Amino acid sequence: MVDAKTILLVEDNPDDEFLALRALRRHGLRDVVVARDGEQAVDQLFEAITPLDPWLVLLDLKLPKMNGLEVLRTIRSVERTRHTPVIVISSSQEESDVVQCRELGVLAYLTKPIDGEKIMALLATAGLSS
Amino acid sequence: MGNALALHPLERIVSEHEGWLAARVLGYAKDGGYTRYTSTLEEAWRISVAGLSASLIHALRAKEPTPGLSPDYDFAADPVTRFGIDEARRHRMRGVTLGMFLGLMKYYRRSYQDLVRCSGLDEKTLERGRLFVDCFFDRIEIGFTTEWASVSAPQRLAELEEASRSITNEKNRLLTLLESIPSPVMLLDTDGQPVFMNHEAVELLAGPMTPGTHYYRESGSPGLEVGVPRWSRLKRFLKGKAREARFEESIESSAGRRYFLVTVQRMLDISEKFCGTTIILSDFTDRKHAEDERQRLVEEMEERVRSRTAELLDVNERLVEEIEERRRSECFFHATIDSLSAPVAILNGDGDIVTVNRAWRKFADENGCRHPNHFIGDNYLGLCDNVKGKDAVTASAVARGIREVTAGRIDEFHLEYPCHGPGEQRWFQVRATRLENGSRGRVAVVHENISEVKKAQEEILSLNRSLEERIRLRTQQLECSNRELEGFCYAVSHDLRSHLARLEGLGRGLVEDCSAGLDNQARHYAERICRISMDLRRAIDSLLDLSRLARCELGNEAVDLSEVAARVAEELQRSQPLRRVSFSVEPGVIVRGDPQLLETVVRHLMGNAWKFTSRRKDAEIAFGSTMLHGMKTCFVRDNGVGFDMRYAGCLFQPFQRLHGPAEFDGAGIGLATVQRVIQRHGGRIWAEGERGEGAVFFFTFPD
Repeated sequence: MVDAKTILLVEDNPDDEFLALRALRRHGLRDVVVARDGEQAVDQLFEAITPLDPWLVLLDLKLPKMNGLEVLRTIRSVERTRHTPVIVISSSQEESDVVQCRELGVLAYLTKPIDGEKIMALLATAGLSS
Repeated sequence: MGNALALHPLERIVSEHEGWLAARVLGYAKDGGYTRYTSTLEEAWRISVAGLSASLIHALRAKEPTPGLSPDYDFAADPVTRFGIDEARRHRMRGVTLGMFLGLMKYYRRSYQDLVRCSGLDEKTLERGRLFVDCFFDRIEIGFTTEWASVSAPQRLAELEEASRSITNEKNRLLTLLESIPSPVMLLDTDGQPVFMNHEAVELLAGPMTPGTHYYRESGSPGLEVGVPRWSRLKRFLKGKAREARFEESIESSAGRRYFLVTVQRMLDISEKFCGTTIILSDFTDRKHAEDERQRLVEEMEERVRSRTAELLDVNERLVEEIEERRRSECFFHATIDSLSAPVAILNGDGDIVTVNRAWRKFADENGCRHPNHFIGDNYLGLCDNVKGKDAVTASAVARGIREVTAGRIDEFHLEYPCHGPGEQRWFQVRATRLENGSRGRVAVVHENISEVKKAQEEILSLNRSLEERIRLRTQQLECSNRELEGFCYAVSHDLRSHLARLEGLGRGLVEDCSAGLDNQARHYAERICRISMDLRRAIDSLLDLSRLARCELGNEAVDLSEVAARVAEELQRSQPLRRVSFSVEPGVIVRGDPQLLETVVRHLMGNAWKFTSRRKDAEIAFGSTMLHGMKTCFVRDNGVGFDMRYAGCLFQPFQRLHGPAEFDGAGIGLATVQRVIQRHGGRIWAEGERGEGAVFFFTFPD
């Protein structure tokens, strides 16, 4: 069984990855696996010899190879990850993206820059904690 | 022998002057007063002359010498005296005396002598003739005087009695004759007194009477009981000299009123002596009645003719007026249809062409229809039914339509059809309109040239088609460019904003993570970089919101703005619990629209009011609705800093600020967003305010 405290961060931009890791670290969340594109994220979750089973997924939408929405659909299509909490952190607030994400049951749709306090508040409200 | 020859002329003269001799004798008798006793009939005188002349001629032809007057001569047996003797006997029986008769005979002698004297014979013959005549009359006179003297007294009495009987018989015959005449007859004497009336006359004048009485007055008796009718015309006649008079009289009798033609005549004897008056009445009552009846019928007929004539004249006058009125209407009608530019034909209920207008005739003439009457009298339906070739379908449709109209099933029928001339494209519209109610009423058929309209329609259609094509192309282009713009916006939103977000994030990292290694100035710069990045990112967010508003789909549901306003007021109060602001929200302001966008509107306006009242201790913010220009109008009012109305137009422009960022924060995009939302809902927003006196934002939505 993989560490249940792991967070999966799906982010292609290194600066954003840095900022996200910084924000998480500031709140004591250091067990973070980073996927640089959608395929990597799916591989980590389902294809690896030891598939990742994160307690939280932070998902960017605009990704190379396989975009964030497809990744989210895949997560929701598999029984094991159907109820895994997902927070979308996107650059834009495209209405269609927001609607689709809500329909797929995300915990929140946030825009960049990433706000660690907001995330912690959301998790607290949802009764989730590391 | 010589005598015999010489006497021939005398015989001729005597036999040729019988009438002359009779007149001559009558003349002498009248002069001598003999006619009182002799026959009054001229004919009787002529007969006596004829008898004497025959005797005289007999004597002439006897060729014997003139007999002498010898005492022994038997005059009674003389054939020459025979006539004279018979005449004397007849006169004697009527009571004539010998002297009277002899005297009369003298006048005969004188008359014959006059004839001989005036005969123009030579003197010798004349003398012998005179002698012969004298001798002849001598023999006759001696003969009848001899015979007269030989008659005895009893024989004489017997002769007179015989004569009296004969006269009485004659009188009775005449009376019977008069009695048997069916017309009233009366005789008056010379004094005008009635001497005789027949039974008819008596009964007429005096009523029913026993026949044979009261109608004959004996000579010398006082007179008849029945008097002469008192007719004025009769009186005039009796006083006058006229021989005869005729007039009409009516008499009331037991059998009713009778009408008579009265003939009154003076009776004159042979000597033209007046001896009485005859009155004969001929009854023409029946004729009169018939005439009256005829007259009455004629008058009645005339009256009927007159009244009928008057009636007819009256009717005639009315008819003339009616004809005139109809003629006028007809003229008006013709003038009216002639004034139309479209060919018109009027049909009766059978489809016969009753009349056509000028345009019809002109069209027919121009199109070479050689018809003497321009089809008047022809059957329009028949003409349509007989059309062959390419126009047959149109013609039969027209005939069908007209039949529907004449049958009263539809009021009007119209059909457009092409009728291209040799050099031009033409279209017509035929329209059949019923002119009278009910079936079989008259119908107007109008052929209107709609070529121009048709051409215009074609042009419009063609223009529309090209316009649509252009619009389609333009739309395509616009859609394309919109897509490009959207793509660009997305790129801006994602890339530009991503970079800004990173700058902001890293700036914050610098301030938060590295503050130990930074001096105050460096930290201050880092913080400003952070804030500017954040402001810029928010501005871009607002811009993107604005562009998203223009594209997103609008919801349409009832939105309770009062509820939204109350919620926003609570949020605002909670955000700055220390501020004292009096909120007033009118409940129940509900409009239709997109709930999220309308919430944005209220949130922005209330937020502005909150922001611009921040310096007042007695801040008031109100949300409500009112009627303005007949429209339900919502408003958000505050008593904040207000604005100069000169800049009211700039309020809703993006990034236009009336206050510096140092006074009030904000990107300057909020009211632009509000206006965009209101406009997308079809409404209007405007603001009223005064510097330092607060502001009111009004907004309306269409019903």
